Amino acid sequence: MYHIAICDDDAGFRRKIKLLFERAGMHEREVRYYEYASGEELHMHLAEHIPYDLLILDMEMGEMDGHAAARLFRKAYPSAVLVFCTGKVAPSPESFKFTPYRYLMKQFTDAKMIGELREVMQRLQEEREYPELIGRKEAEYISVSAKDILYISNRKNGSTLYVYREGRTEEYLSNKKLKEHYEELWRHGFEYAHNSYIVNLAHVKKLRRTELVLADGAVLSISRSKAKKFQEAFMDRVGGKY
Amino acid sequence: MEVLSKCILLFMNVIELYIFLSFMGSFLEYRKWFGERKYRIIIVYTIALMLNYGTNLLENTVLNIVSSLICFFVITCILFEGSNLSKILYVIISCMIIMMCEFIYAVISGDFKGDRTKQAELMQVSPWQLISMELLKYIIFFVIRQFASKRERRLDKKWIGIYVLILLSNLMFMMVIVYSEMDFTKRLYAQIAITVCFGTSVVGNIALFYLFQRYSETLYSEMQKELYIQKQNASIKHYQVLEEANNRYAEFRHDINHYLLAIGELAVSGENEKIAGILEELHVQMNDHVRMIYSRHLVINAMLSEKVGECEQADVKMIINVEPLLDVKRLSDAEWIAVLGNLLDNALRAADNCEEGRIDVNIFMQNDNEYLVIKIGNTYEGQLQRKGRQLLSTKKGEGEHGIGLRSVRKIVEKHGGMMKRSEENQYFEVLILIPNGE
Repeated sequence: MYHIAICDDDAGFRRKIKLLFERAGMHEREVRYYEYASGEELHMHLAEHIPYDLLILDMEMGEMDGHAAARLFRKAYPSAVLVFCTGKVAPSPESFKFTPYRYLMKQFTDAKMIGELREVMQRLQEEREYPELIGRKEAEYISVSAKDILYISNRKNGSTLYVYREGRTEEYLSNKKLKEHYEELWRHGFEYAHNSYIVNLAHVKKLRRTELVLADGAVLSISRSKAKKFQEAFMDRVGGKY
Repeated sequence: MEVLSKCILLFMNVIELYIFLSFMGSFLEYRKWFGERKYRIIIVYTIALMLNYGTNLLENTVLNIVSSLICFFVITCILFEGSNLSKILYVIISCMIIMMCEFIYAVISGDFKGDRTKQAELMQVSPWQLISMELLKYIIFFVIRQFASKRERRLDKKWIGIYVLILLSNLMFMMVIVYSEMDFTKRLYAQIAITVCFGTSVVGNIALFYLFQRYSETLYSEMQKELYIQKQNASIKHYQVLEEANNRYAEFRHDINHYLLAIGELAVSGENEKIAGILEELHVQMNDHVRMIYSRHLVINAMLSEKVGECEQADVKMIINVEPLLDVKRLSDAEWIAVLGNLLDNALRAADNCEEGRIDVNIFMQNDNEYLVIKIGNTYEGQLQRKGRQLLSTKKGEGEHGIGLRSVRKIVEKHGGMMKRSEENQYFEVLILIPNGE
């Protein structure tokens, strides 16, 4: 069951989105919609801890605009998929801070909109499939989504997970070997930058020939033998959104 | 010493032939075949040099003069376009200038030994003197070329003055050094001359530096002008496309009454499917009106609108997906024009040859706005032409092969980005990633 929130002050557009989701192949039994007519209404319901998978958010609403609503939503749901909806072509660069997956233009034709929603659905499915890894910190075991991992490095009797959440990086120990992690994670965008670590390509901010910079500012070197394959994997991953 | 003398002679031949060719190049056009590839000129140059040098080694005055004249004439006929009469004339003039230079040098240096073609005597002259003599030749050829040539490549008079000033001060340095025998303390005239040389050299270098600065400023302003013109052209095209769309929209508004009447009649008779069809058609027409604005970036809009028009004419389907929020910090307008222009031209040329040609354009941001991604794919038919790993253009016209993709790659690499080409199932794709950070 997917939990999809639609926040738009136009009731007609909310109805249309639901209809188009159905036409895109989303069966009504596998989805539950939550409709909100304003950012304030969405905000009120955030405290209910509904497990939202997706929020479709109008950028231009009444008092609380899309940015303010996105900020509140991202704080409560850092890993849910966010899709912006707009009638204009020029939202502000601030929108990027909320890591939206797509921008839907209200004037898209139905066919184009259905195509976009199909890709959103695929993304939801991928999110579901993202593996959860077990990490240990002191005596505490916690589950970590592979999506939040910056990189995994080799260590004696296992590996170390570097997890990036809410602007902070934390280290967790794992009993699995690096090779085992790679076998599980390569299809989710992890690649060897060096024999002793694999990197989540989605968190690479800068890539140079011999080093890379991660989202938290950490700089890792890329070994000569891995450089070519790493660059190809990075290009495929980053360029593969559309 | 024998070896040293031969080296000096070779050096003189190299310089003389170079000066001669650059002199001829100012008046005559290189033949097209030689102009295309520099190495072809170098081969002819080397052959002529060896022949001339070989004859000089024989130390026969008459043979030297005759062979030099023939050699210069033959090389002129091989390399340059133009009538034989003008070639003969220029060859005679240049040979006379060379001889005159040697005579002048001998006179001003007070070391007149008569015929320079007597190699035995020449080889007694010190290398310093020979270098000075070649420099004098170069100066005289340079000045004649600048004033006699009608070509656009002629330098500005200010430049010529500064350049000649530096050359002359260098020549004077050489001569003073040689004839004062490196001892400036005992001879007053040497002290005065070396001081004047220093003065002119310093003034010349300062002026040259100033002129270079002015030159780079001029180049920059020319570039800006060029860019402005390009942007203006792109804007005009874009607005033309927008105007056409507005006209279509006006027609659509005019026709809407007919549509509403039709919908009303269909509603009365309960034909909902037909109503849905008409509404869908209306929706498509309305979207036609707004589709020319793909992003807030004017140049991207203009380039894409122009190509959409070309694709429509060529019956090629073009699918454009530009994320509305395109935060472009790195690429300048000129670079956008170069990248999109080249890639879309290539794509259109290839897709146009297909029965059902298609071009996909995707421009978007990735990795939290850290990377700009440009992905352009197209269908093609037949085999891609290659030379090694490099793809060859299908464009007609010589010398243009692969220049488009190469210039795109240069821009991408300049910004620390990456570029990848791939082809599969008759579909060619170029993927570009450019870091967007500062």
